Amino acid sequence: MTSYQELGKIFSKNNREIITLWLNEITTKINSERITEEKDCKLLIECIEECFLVPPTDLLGVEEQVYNSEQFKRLKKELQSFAAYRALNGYTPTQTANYLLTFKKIIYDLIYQKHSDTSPRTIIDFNNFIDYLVVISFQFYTDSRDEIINSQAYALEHDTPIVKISKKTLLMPLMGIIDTIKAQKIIEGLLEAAVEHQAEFVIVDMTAVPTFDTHVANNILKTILAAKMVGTQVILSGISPDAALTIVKLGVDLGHVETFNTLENAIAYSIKS
Amino acid sequence: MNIIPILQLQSNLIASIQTELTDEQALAFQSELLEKNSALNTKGIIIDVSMLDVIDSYMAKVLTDLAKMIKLQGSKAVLSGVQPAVASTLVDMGMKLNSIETFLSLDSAFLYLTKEQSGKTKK
Amino acid sequence: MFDETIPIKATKDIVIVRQKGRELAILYSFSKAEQTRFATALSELTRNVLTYAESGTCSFLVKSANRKSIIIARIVDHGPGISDIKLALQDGYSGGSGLGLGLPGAKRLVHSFDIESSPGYTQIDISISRTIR
Repeated sequence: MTSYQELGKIFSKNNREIITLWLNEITTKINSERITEEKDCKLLIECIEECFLVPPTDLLGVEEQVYNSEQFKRLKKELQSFAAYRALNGYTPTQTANYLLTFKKIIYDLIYQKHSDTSPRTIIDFNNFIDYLVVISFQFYTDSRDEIINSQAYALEHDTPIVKISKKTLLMPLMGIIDTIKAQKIIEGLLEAAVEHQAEFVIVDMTAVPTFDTHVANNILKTILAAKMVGTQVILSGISPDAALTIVKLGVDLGHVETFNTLENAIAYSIKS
Repeated sequence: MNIIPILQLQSNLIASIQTELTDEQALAFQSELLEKNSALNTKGIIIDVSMLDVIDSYMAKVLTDLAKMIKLQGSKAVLSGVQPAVASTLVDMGMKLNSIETFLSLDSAFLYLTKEQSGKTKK
Repeated sequence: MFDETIPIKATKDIVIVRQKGRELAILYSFSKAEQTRFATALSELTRNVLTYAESGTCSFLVKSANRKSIIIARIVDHGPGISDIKLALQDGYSGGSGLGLGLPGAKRLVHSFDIESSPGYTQIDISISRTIR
């Protein structure tokens, strides 16, 4: 009997116990919901067990066989989603590593108590197997974390939505507080979109912009001028009475700009023209 | 120094600037357009700058001067294809290109000019 | 200290300098808008050299460490110098109509702008920087 087959036997004999012990350890150590963990852990054990039950052939060495098997590939795939989920949901690297390390501990305890005649070779192979899984799951975890960080950076860079509402009109609803950096992104985004879609009008809706200081006003003015230079007309909508007051007080000359208090009126204007 | 091809389409001239121009080339381009406009008695000129990824203050002056001179000749010069980055740079520098109208594309510029021209004759 | 120096002797050199500036900006992944601003600023300053000093040089240096990249350009000439730098940097002295040095305009296009000028020597250092997130 190969070491893996011996492991397979231990697992199938003690399946229930392994799951229960593991879940208990995890939920206490990681302080998470049992229901969430149960599904994942059961799946992992299933995959691990299948790896041990890979029927030996004469073609490859036993170890090579297990690590190259379809079952191992499946295990890796499950580990990847397992790690990704943890990365996405704020589990720390330590917590994530602890899953498999706890698992190891439980199996060792089990072997010690109930299967003390297990060959040293088997124990060593099991140890190497789990260690390898710990390493790759850690890699999957960090890969996921990097991906999340990058996508957040991407979102930060591309968070001004632009909607095409007709063949020649784009709509850009501005939201939140606009600082200098964001303003720059808005201008660039608007100009690129206007040229890309060959839009004659871009309606910039200011309804969701709470504050209006000199910087915002000047940036809006810059946007309008640059848009004009490119061949697009900017229409402002959703300027609150407060904002209108600020613009006039600041002396920002929006004289040549069409402004409308509601989005509907702005759209109507663009259709008419 | 005829490096910019100038085509005639009906009563308009179309010039597309494809490469970076030195100061001398820009000035030569300017005079050539004025000459051709006069010789061919065209009513409008479209200068396409979609390939220019830098328009500095000098080039901006060449273009706006050109528009003013063309106007004196009784015709109209317009720009098409100003790149977004170029537009925001000019605005950042404080330049406005006020004396020349700009269009998103050659098509829209051409449409505009022919529409305008069908309503009036050259002085 | 500088990686590359381009002589400024004729108007064709203006194009060479700004193309080099753009090339570096592209190499270090600056956005199209940043590339254009940098190239345009270089164009303005290089042209000034020819107009007021007949010849000069533009040198480039790139510093890239951790996740930050900085491209520095130093424009030097041995012309008469700018007698009143403060005035030259004031808005209203911009190159909009082709008059003046266009310095305030160029200054707005870059992240840092340092100028030293005395009769016989003018040095303008400009830079753009970015942080990779």
